[in-house]
Amino acid sequence: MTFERKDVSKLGSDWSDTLVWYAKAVGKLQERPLASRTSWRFLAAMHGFNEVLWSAHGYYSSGEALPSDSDRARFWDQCQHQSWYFLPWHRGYLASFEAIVRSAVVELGGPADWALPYWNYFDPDSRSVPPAFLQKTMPDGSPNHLFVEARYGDGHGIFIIEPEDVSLNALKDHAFIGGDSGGNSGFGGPDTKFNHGRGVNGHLESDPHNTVHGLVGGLEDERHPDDRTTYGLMSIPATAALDPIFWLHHANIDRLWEVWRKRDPQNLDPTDPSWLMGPADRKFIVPDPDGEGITFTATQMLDTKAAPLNYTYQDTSDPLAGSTRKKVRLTGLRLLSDAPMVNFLENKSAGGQVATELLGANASTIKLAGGVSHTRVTLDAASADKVNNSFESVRLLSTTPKEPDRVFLNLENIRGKNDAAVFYVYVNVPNGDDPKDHPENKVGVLSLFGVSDASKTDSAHGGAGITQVFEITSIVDNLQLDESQLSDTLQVQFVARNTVKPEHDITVERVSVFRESL
Amino acid sequence: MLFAILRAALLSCPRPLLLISLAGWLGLAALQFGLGLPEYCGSLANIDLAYLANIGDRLIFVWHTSSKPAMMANWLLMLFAMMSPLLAQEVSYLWQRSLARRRPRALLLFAIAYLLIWSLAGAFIMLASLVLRLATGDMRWCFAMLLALALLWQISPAKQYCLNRCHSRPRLAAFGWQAERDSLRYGLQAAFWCGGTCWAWMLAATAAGLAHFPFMLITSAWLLIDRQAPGRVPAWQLPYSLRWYRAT
Repeated sequence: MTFERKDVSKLGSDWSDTLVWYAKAVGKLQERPLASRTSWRFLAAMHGFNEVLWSAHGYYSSGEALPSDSDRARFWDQCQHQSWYFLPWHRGYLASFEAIVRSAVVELGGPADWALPYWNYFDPDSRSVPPAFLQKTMPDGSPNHLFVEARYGDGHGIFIIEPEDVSLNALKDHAFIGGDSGGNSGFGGPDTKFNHGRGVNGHLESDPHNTVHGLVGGLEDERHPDDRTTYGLMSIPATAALDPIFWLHHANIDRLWEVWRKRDPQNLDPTDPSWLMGPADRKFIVPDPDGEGITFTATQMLDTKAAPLNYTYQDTSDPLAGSTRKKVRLTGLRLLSDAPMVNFLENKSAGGQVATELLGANASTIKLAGGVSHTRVTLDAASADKVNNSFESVRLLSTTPKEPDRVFLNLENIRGKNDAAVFYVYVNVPNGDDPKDHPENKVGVLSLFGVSDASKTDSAHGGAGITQVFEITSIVDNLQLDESQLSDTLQVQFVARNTVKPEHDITVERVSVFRESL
Repeated sequence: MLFAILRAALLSCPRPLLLISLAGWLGLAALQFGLGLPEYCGSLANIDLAYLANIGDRLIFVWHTSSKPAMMANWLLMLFAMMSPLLAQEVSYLWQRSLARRRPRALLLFAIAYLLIWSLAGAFIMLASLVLRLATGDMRWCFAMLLALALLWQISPAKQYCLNRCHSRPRLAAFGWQAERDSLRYGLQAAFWCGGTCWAWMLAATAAGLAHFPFMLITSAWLLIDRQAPGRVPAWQLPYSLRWYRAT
């Protein structure tokens, strides 16, 4: 039997049956002890566990019985981030959770076809966290398990994802696999081993996934900086899955993977054995409703209608009417109506490492705080010329034009303490102007979800922080169209979207620009 | 599981590094089996040093009777053979994140700094090894002790501390003398933490006598596997790759 995951805003009312049963089932799961594999907290710890943070939020008491060493080593701290495993792992994780919740729903007398709804914040009617999650009590007056105290939003009770905060640009990428050498990071992320969080963010993971985490969880301004409950549960990977909204957010991300696949035959999942059968160094494992551990690989995550997944989404139609990165670029370069495009429109593989080259970098590590921070990137003349020259065949209106270089801004090795921080990033805003008046210069939204763990050297995360890549090809294309060229500097500005303070110690080790030749 | 990790590590290693490593192993094999191992690295059992009263005299004796060029050659070949695959991630990082025209220079400076530190470390390791062997007298007993030391170091928090820092990726300036400085600094830093992680194995290898060559091969394979593991909180613990449940 296949279950249908529906849009939470289209269930008929704020407290539809689906959410009523979800709330009750969450309550039931929360009653189970931590050591039980089908308990709320065990499932959340599979995403990440941090004794200090959990204790501060009241989810763990010192001396409480933990699961066995073996269970913790195999099940806990599994979540895959900054990796091509991000999508398949979370798919398996959600499927396990959904089955366990459904089983609890049935035990409580609810419907056997209960399925996890998804929260589509791209829908203008659904930008806010669904009301059922914001109320302390349910319609019958009993405590609402969908409500959590530690969900701060903008710090003033607003939990809205604005249109400027997120985008569907990731859907326009064709390549699933990205590189970690400065070029495009891929729809699904870079090729890694088992990766609990560090390195380069894949496109969908970054936008909208990371940003929504930070904007929903937020941080509680008034608290003392050393108070560990300063950050909302959703803000940090080690506590995110404790918030019931986590699962609806990830259902939407999972749905977007389906949307991506369906919208263009050139959008292909990887065929590499190491993705399909991996990771080689640690197996993915989740509990079934009876608590049995089931290992899984990406191979089993490819068809949502088949076992062990058995679900479909209410709506996987294309929200962008067929628009792709290449088509947008060709239109921008005013080429679409012209000669047949050789190598422009073909795409036969899932991507991978491509030829990249550093164009330039800024002079020193920079610190990001509230307001606007900025830095200047110096470009190497010879390398920048290679980019300019790649436009040759386009400029000459050749009959077999080659796609010009793509250019990427890299924010390398970002470290800090504030996972909830979100910044709008702009390139080449005219001197003196307010970046907000130049949306055409906005290259993306930077979210620091996962940064504090990634900054710790003595941990699985390695201390190298998070690296964020933004495509700035359109900026370069516009220069070409203005008959200008890529010159020797680029101005980069960071505008804080939410609360960021100097004591959060957010640093970007290096801001650099890379070209990717095609 | 271990074999899969080793295979993956070798496959993802840049070809030039693999070739350098292979050249190193072939050179070492030639020295060991063809041209004869300098007594320094081999068994000292044949040399009856009982008539030399103290360690100082024995040291001087061995120093004067060993071929220095052979020692140097042996050491450098060993570095190339063992270190090259271990530096895959550092080399890739340096290559990808440097301007194209600076890449050869960046790698050269990195290599120079790296070899410099390791040669200094080598001098200390060799001296320590010599002293220990001459003091102990019995080669096999000495090797057993050093092997035990290496295993102890392997599971120690200090070693994990060093290994965690092997993974670090420092800022690399793109232009000017700062770029040269950063390449050198990266080499020094990598060698320092690399040395901190591996010194005990190297020390044990110098006392392996006739088993020297196979011991180095096995140690290299093990170090490469260990290098692939993610960082961990330093503690007394078994190596990441050996945790039994990881094989399930």
